[in-house]
Formats: sequence, structure tokens, C-alpha cells
Amino acid sequence: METTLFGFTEQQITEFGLTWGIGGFILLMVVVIASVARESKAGRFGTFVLFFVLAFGVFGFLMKQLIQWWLGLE
Amino acid sequence: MLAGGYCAAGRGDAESLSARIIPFQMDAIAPYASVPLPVRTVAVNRPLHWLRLGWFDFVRTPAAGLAHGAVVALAGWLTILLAPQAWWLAPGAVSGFVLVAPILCTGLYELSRLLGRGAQPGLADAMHAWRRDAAPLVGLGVLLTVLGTAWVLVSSLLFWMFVKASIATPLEFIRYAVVGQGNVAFTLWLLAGGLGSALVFALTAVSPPLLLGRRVGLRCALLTSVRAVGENPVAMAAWAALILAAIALSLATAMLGFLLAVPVIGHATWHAYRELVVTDGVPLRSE
Repeated sequence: METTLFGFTEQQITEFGLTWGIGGFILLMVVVIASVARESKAGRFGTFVLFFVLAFGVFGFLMKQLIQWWLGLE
Repeated sequence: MLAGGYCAAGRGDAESLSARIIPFQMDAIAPYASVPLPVRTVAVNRPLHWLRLGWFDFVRTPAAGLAHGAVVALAGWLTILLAPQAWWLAPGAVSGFVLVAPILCTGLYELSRLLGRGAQPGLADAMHAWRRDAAPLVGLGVLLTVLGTAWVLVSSLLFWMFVKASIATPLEFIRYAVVGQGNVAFTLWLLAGGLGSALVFALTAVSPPLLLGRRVGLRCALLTSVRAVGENPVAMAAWAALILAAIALSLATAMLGFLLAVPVIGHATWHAYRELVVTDGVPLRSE
């Protein structure tokens, strides 16, 4: 029988920690970015962050597809 | 064009322009001022011009430039060599290294500074940059090292916890790290990485050369850097993309690309700082 903690399996706790852990990390970074933008009096810092994150995301997904294709994985 | 400071942006007459600059100058003269310096807005294609200036500086001091590039390439090879034994350290180590790179290029900023004065500097002059009155620069180095180490730990923990299978080769590592995580986790990972890199890029885009050249505090340098990025979102996103492309090409050529990419981008960063930050009236750092 699989071991559980408060009725959750290890797999469920791991997934919970991953999504909420990284989610919290993302939220913290958004707060830091907002406060830095305010203190530096930089007008369109949000625009830069948006550009950067979108480009980074697209690049990441392209790399993932490329690596999958290269390794012959599904 | 100067970016708006205490006054509302958009008023272009001479009177409001001087009113905008003077408060900054008075703050900036204090060695540890925490108010950002004024910055210029530049055309979107300027990053290419910075690269060209960086290349000219590199060919004038090639030995010192190649030495800086070789240090980065060696560190990259060391990471790859260690990856099979400590695979969970690899992703954090690579990204953490990119984090401390702006401070590793300090010697290159010094070379560009001296070249701009008509001198013919060498590697010894680049090393001398660290012996000048550079406490805030050391402070930035410590800050980036702490951030880099924290990122290595967080990254290691994530991989250690979520990759259950035993991993023996770099290929297996890629298989589990990139492909095996599922799309939701991978998207979150990219979002966190993207936000973190955007923040670190903005904080360090021009702050190390500013700290090297002028007597300003760390807080002032970091806020000025964010401001330069915030007033030039498209040009600086293009600059970040150029740097990212150079790193990707360097990794794809078994680290050899770093030999050229590090010195050219390092020198170019000095020229980006010179064009973006208005340093009139801010005292020079002592020789």
C-alpha cells in the first residue's frame, strides 16, 4: 500500500509544492520588480519586463521543442 | 533626450530641463546617494553600435580580452565536467554564472575607460580596477554572488526533489530536466526564470561600469540601471536578446564562443553606460 500523509500521496505533495512553491517565488519577484520600478522612477520598466519574459518564454519553448526533436522524444 | 526626473516628463524648454538635472546633481555628489541619476533615451538600433565599439576596443587589447573570455570558457568546461557527478548542480551553476558575469567583466570596463582617454592599457591595468577605491563594486559582487548561490540552491533543490530517476549522463539529465517535467511545471519554471533574469539584467545593465567610473553608492547605481532600462524598454530588450544569443552561440560552440563574446560584450557594456547615463557633475572615482 502506498504511504500517505494527511491523505495525500508523496506524488501529490510534490506537485503541490512545485506549483505553489514556484507560484510564490513568481509572486515575490513581481513584488520586487514593482518596488524597484517605483523607486527608480523608470517610466516603462513594466514594458521591458513584459517583452523580456515573453521573449524568454518563447525562446524556452522553442529550445524544448528543438531538444525533443533532437533527442527523438515525444 | 533626458528622461524626466522630479518634474513631469514632456516639458522640453530649457528652464525645466535645468530644473530636472540640478536636484540629481546635488544628490549625486554625496558619495552614497540613493537617488537614480538622469538617463538618456536612445534609438532602438544603438545596441548594434555598442557592439561595434566593443569590437574596436577588443581588437586594441586582444590579449586581455581573450584572458577574460578564457576564464568564462574554462568555468563552463568545469561545469560540464562536474555535471555527471553532480547533475543537480548543473542548471543552477550555469545560470548562476551568468548572474555574476557582469562583475567579472570589471577589468574590461576599466580597459575601455582607459582606451577612451587615449591610453594603451593591458591586462595589468584591468586587474588594477579592483585595487582602486571600489567598495560599492565589491558590494555588488557580493550581492550577485549571494543571489547566484541562492539560485543554485533553489534550482538544485527543485531538481533533486522532482527528478526521481537515477541520472548518469548529461543526455539523461536533459531528458528529465527539459522534457520530463510536463508543460505546466515547465511554463512556471520559464516564467520564474524570465522574471528573475529580467530583474537581474535591469539591475546590472549599467551599474558595474557606473560604479567603476563614478563615486556613487550601490543603491544609486542599481536604481540608475533600472531607470536606464525602464526609459528604453525596446532598445534594452534588443540588447538583452543580443547577449542571450551570444551566450546560446557560445554554449553551442563548446564554450569557444565565450573567448570572443565576453570581451566584446564587456567592452560594449561600457559604451552602453556612457551613452545611457548622464554623469555630468558626478565626481570621478579616484585613480
